[in-house]
Amino acid sequence: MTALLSIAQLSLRFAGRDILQQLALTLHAGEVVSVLGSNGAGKSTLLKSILGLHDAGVDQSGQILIAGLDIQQARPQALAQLAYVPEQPAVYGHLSAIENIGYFLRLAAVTPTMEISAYLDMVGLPAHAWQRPCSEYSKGMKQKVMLALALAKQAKLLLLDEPNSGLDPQATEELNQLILQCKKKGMGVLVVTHDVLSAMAFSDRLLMLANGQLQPVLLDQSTLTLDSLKQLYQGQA
Amino acid sequence: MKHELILLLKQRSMVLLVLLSLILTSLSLQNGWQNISHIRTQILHAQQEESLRKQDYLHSHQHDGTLDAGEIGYYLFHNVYHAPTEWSFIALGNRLVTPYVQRIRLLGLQGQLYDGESHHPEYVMLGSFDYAFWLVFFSPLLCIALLHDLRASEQQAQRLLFLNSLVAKPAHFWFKRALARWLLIVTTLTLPVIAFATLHALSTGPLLLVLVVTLLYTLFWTMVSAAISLHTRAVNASFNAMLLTSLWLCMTVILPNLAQLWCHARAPVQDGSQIALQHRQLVHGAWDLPKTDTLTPFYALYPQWRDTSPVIGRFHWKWYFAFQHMADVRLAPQVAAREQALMQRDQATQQLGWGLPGVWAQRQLEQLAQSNVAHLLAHRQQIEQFHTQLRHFVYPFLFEEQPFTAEDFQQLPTFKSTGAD
Repeated sequence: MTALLSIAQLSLRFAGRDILQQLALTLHAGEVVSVLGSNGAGKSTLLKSILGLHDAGVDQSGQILIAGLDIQQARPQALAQLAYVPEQPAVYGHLSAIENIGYFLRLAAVTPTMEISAYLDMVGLPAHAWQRPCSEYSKGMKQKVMLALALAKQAKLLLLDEPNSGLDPQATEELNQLILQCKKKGMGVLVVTHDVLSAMAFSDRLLMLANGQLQPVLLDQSTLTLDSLKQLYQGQA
Repeated sequence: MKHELILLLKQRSMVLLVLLSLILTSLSLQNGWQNISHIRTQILHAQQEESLRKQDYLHSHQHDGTLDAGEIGYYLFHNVYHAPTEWSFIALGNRLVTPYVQRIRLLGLQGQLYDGESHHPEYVMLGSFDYAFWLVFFSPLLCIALLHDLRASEQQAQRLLFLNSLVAKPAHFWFKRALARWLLIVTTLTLPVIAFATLHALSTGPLLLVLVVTLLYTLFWTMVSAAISLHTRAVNASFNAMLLTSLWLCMTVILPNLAQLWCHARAPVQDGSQIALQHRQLVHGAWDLPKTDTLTPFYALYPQWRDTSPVIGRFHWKWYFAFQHMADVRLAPQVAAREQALMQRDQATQQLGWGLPGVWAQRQLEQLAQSNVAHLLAHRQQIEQFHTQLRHFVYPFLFEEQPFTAEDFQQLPTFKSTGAD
């Protein structure tokens, strides 16, 4: 089975500093992988690399395949396979959820197979909000719009950057359920997060990004303490 | 493209900006039109007044069915008009600071031409709110307002990475975004012009020129704004706005003014009022000179009148008009030098247009409106030709002392402005 995301020997150097070193990761369909890491560990840089974007002056080597397509060599085709949801939902405040998704789908040159409202229904956004400007939405509602876009785009791979940041417990729970829903649909999900508890709730694998490399993390929710979390982030887990 | 325009027009601030631009463009056209209409009305009134005045003169100055040619030369004023063309409203240029109706007599022309030389200081300083002014000075600000944060606004909303993850070719995406904004700007500028031209049934050739100038000038500012706002380091909207407005200030105000100062220093122009003063001094001085000092050089220019009856006594009209004309002749080199200097300035400004798009756009519109220096000088030449025509018509009656009949009076030349519609 072809991996949805395959990263091999990814190294990235910027301003004389090694951000990523010989990093490797494979993610299959129906799998949720969470990447943990302290601030500045290179989580966002890793996401940028997966998206085939990097700043000027960055020296990158290695290979990233999205559903078997090299992001550097076949970027348009590779991008069509994935959906990226940033930490701050990227919706335009003056447009409604339907207009936002319609606009983004046009940018991605994707024709949805169903009405946009059907995707909004799938992610549980209340119907009365669909036509209202997104500036009136809570962050949780905006995240749902972004996930509806991912579904409408028929992405195979979902990249989530700090999805639970700034969400209340109920919204976090709803989002966690949506991630599991995506997993059930056969999507591969890569989550970059600080929220260890949520990550444990929906992830098949937890990885810690430290010293430019990904290390597997084994955690037991019943024995998780504040000290063990501190040790985890300090690389002593 | 359509979805980019919809995205823009869904913003209330953008709708307000578009409406404001549409209103101000329409106002600039209307203001130009009103000024030109006023000029046309004044010219029409002046023409009617001239006709009545001349008829009145004919009735009140006839003695035994004839008139005195000398009195006609001295007392009868002839109107000369700087008539606007169909598209003069687009760029008022020099029209508001130079007289559009002047009254001249058979006296020395240079003393009369520069009588109205003093420019209205407010107009000279501020210019007038016409389409050219609006386009050249304010449309760049529209471009800056719509394009300065092209990338920075997305970066600020933390949407940049997301957008780049959606589009296959980011350069193509940004190009379409900038293009949508340019189209919006162009629409707000050209739509009122097209509507105005249609409403007043104006000719399409000049309309096309106005549209082309508008498209090219706004395209330049769109490209400059996009180049700065899409630079990879241009992630600060305030900095971009400051940089672009500084550039706008330099390119539309500071550099053209400095260049104008340089042009003025390089080609100094004698003030017209100085020429008028010198003319008056020459005329006044001629009263005290022996008549031969005036008539000998005059007859050298007009040998056909040399053998006419000699001037006897203290005063004769032909001596009077001869010294009036000789004052013109003596000042001719100064007048020619002044006009040459004005043309030099004009040519220097034309060359500046290749480096300063605002100057280029202004000149194109003033050329179309016939309100530039070249047309002003051409108008002066028309007046000179008319004055010569008038002199040549009256001279035989003066020098050969032929009777000037009412029929001759009706044959007096009248001024026809070639710039008129």
